Amino acid sequence: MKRIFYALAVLTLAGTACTKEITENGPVAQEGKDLMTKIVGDTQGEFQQGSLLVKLDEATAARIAGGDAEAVAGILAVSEADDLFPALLIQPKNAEVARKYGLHRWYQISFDESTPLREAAAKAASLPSVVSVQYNSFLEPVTSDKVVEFVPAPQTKMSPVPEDSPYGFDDPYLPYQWNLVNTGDKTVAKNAVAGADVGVRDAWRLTGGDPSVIVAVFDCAVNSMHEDLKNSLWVNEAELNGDVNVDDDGNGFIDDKYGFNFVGCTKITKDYVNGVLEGKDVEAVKGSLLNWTKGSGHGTHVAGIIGAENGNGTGVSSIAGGTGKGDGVRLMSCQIFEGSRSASDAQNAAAFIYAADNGACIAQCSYGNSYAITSDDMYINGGEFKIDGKDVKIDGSPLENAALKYFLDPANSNHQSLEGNIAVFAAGNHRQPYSSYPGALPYVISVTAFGADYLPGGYTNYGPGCKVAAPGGEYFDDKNYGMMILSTGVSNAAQGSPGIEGNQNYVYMQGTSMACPHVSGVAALGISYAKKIGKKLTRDEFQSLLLTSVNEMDASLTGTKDYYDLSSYSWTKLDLGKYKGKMGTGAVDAWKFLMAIEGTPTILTQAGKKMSIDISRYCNPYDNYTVSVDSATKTALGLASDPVIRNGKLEIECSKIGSGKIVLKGAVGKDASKEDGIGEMSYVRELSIASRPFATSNGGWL
Amino acid sequence: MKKLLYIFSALLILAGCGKDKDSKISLEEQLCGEWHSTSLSVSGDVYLGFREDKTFEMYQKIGSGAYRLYRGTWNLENGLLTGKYNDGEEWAAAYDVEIKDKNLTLTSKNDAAESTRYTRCEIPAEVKEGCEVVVKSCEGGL
Repeated sequence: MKRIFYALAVLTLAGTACTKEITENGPVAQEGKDLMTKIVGDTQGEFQQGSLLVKLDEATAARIAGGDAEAVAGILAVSEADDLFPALLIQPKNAEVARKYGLHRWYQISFDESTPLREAAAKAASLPSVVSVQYNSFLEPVTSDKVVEFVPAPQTKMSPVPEDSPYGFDDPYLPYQWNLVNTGDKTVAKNAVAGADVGVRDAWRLTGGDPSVIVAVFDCAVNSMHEDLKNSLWVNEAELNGDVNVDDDGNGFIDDKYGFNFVGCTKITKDYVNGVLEGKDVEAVKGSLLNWTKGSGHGTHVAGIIGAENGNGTGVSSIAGGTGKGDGVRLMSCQIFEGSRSASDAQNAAAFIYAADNGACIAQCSYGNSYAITSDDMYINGGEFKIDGKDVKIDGSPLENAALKYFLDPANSNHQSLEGNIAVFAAGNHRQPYSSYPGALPYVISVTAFGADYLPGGYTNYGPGCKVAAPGGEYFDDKNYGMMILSTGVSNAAQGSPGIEGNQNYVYMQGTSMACPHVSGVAALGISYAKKIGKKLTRDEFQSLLLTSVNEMDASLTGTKDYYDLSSYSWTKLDLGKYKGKMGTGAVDAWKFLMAIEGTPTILTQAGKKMSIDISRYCNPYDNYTVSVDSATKTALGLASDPVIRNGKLEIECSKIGSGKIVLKGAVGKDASKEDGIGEMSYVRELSIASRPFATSNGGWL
Repeated sequence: MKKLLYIFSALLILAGCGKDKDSKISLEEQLCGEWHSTSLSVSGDVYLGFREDKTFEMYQKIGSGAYRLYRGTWNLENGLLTGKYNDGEEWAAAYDVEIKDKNLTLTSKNDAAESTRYTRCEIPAEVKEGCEVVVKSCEGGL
């Protein structure tokens, strides 16, 4: 299984939602199948040698957990392995939730690295107690990014933003961040269209974030020394003030001051698992401190979009970086990429467990599979599929999926204003007509990308699995970088990654990797605001409001657009019509989202008159909603027929003076062409209606 | 004589909006200022600000959610208050205006004859700061 970052390289400078519950099936659930169907996938990808992940049946897992040496010996004998140990660090206090997703049944077996993996897998699968075998594959490392530093124009040299400027903070590079505030200034972005941004300028009037909101950045490490990020980091105080090589806070991870380097644990061994749980200095931990000096600075760029410090007169602004009073959200670094190395499945799963156990309420994940995975079952359980006429074996990711669900579980809620946690993924940059996984899963958000022109980025995936759109920017040429996304970068990042030039404190990048943290940032802002006004939402409610707090995109999706394709280094024409209705529910809007969290105002209608009401401030009125009304509302308002949404407006005719509620129901992400394809995320939005003797169509009281 | 006339006009000008009025001050001058709803026909909260330049701003919260800001112009003739929002839409009704002490009553001039009452009150800063303005589609509000 290959997974990659989604930054294409370059350059120079009140409702409830529900989702289809996906469960492990096939080889995992159908215990007793023949041994080969127990093996989840088998691609030509990179695997950790000398190691396999096995899921045991409940009885055997219980025996081993109880110290039954005979059970362990039995497995080792048949699989001809040297060692058997838990695949993940499960803290005793979280054991119950871990059991819910079967995480306690996942073990690693280790054996001589010269043993062919397929041979070892077949032996392990022959054991009746083993219900699933997963190759411990590595995420695909980034190898092609090119990043060039941002060189500000002379007049922008750290000069404060004037009071009458249309921007929000005195960060000198904010005027270059069309993704935050797009005034249509074509000297900033050649193709800028006013309003093609994330809608955060007005949201900052209400909140700039809150330090209680912790966003875990699953990426290469965030530069904790960066001038614009150092005050925005999640800090593990016990480790920061503790002893070197000691697990000072007893969380099972040593010296995790700002997060943890899961790649640096080159192998999660038995000694490592037991050692860290006992707070010992163990071999695997050495050299595993967060390392942002290798790679492209992708994680630092992503982090800066969410939480670079606002109002500090330095560098860039961010969506949830506070209001200049140290009140922004906090960024936890879950390092799953390091230069040319990447985390294995077990390490990646461990990162989700870590984020959940250490306070993160948002998982920001700008990575995904590079394979043609087109169903939830294919992602979770893998198998052999016919793709484009060829037989292709796809790795399943049952362990990652289980760890992801552990992170999302309400029992692991990490913020007082949100029941459960949320995960946001990039849709992918392959121009595929469907989202990559894990983002395509129906219980996480997958983000498509648009440019400063409010049109799809030429690289973005679209279609089934995609949930919402955000600014991702796009490359134009080496003299016009402004159409990309400007954010924080990594100095001296040239080590280990080709194509990097200069000193990259602030860099431009493009991709759904950049769009993804916009949605994470807006979500972080939303949680911050919910706390401020004393509200608590379930994850489904939160996601419903997020997916309906959008601006419509389809109206401009006609004709073609020229796009410079960095994979072929050539200009190409995009047929915009193919993106219609396929970028998710629309372009996320931070202001609308905060308004939705605040509560939906009552819509005023006039009794005895057919009214056509603009509802664009509550949702994307061109979304394919169904409108439902309960019988009590029908009676109270005297509705002879159900309201409908037509041409972007709610049409309703009340015969009586009264009040009630209507419910807009929508769904996004479903692959309509297949019965068991990519699943959908459904969402609802309630609107209150009051009919009066007289009313205007704009909702004004007078 | 001329001196006296000048002094008299100056007094009229000084008697501006927001101050206690006496019966000699016109209804229009009395209406100028800021008002807060005390009785509406639905669950909600409304602040009105009538300005001397014949513009108004209205912060309304009907049901839940944030206050929403509407702007426009008003006119008062023969005790009948009419207005138009900045998006061009007329108010849903014209209103008879009655002001007693610090209380304003607006009664719709239609079959419903709906009365709503307000009291003189400065619009709180938090209402102004947290209000919803339709920014992208109509800068400056409706």
